Amino acid sequence: MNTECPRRNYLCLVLVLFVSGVFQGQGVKSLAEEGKVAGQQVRTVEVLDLKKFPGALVKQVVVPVPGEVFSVLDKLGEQDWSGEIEIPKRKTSTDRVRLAMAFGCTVAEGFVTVEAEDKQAIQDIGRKVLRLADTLGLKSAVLPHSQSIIDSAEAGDWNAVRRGFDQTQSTVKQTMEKMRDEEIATLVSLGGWLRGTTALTRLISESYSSDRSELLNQPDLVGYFQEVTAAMKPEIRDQPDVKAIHNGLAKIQQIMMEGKGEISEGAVSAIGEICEKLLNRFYFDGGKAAGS
Amino acid sequence: MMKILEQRNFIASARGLVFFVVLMFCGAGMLQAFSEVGVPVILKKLAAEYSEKGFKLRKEHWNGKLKSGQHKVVKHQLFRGNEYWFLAAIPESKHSLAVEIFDEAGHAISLERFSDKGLSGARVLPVKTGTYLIKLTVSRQDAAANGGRDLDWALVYGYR
Repeated sequence: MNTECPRRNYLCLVLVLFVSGVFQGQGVKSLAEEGKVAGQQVRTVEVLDLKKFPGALVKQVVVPVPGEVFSVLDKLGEQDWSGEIEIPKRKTSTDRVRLAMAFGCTVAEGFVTVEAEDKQAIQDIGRKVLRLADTLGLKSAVLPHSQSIIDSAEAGDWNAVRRGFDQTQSTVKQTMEKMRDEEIATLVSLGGWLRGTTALTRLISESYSSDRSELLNQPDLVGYFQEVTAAMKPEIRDQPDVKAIHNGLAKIQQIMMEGKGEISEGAVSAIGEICEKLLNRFYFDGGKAAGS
Repeated sequence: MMKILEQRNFIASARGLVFFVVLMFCGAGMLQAFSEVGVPVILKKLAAEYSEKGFKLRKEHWNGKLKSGQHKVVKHQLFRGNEYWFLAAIPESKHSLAVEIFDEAGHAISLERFSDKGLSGARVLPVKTGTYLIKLTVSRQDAAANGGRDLDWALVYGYR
């Protein structure tokens, strides 16, 4: 009999949890029905001391999408992006690590082609994105976005094209994460960051200003990429390209931190050279066609 | 007599087990649906209003679990020149949620904030490009509410 009491208590606990779950569901419904921006304004002066709650910091740094950088550049005036487009002709690798990074690079290339408003290049990239997604086994997830990119480019709707590339990358990352392939999802982001940063450094170098170079002040983000590549499972972490990227990121972070928030003209070039050298390994045609 | 009692206990245990398993499946299904669909749905609805104001919303969201009285801090790369709205939700009207944005030195920098039951948001115009900290805090409005339970939270943001 004694053994029944804890069991009954446990069942009661489960019941309570279940009922509270139902009420939670109702809470969601009522909030969703309200779904409005509340008028209550809150203004407080607060200072955050992370030492007071060290366990609460989410280790991950949110990786920005290329659109956030382009949004700032748009405000800084007209830029000529046409010279930055570089659609490699190298054969698509079948290695998932290279494939994931190349996918991220191609999406970033897509953002560059949108900035250059080059219809043909956008359509070429849209088709390439679909081919890469197919090799990754994600064709059906990416197909609607790819078609939307091609159609929107034809119509000259650049905002819709940007949205299409944004959705493509997030769909692939989310699908990877659902498949518990977070490391491959991270490599997609990393590839996109490397390609986007290369284009950005070239553009800044053409007409240097501290307003533009400030966009490269991303040492924590680079540090985050270093941490995640170091923590990947050995078969990915020890892949030569990933090793090279990990080491390259350490150099980039050091350059970014040297100026304490100021990224000099020399620093911009140095960051660009490192990124380009890394992309030559698996993306640009300038490098060896290994893995193809 | 003992045998009958043991048999009854066994039947009761078996019934309890079946009941437990059914509850587990129902409960798990609801919680999964709730955490994967519910919170983002609220946020998407709210975020749509910001989208109409010209904010480009990220298609992804960030989520986790948080107890009442606890904080969660998410590191974020922000760019000077952009304006950001961070929007967060918890599925519990008896708890209030607050979003605040801090610079690297730990100073609160939100230009505008709102908090309404399980929804909260903060707006920021970064004065320099760099890393910022987005802090979520859950607190209890009703002392009788269950404060020890993990609450799902979700965060989205938009920029323009």
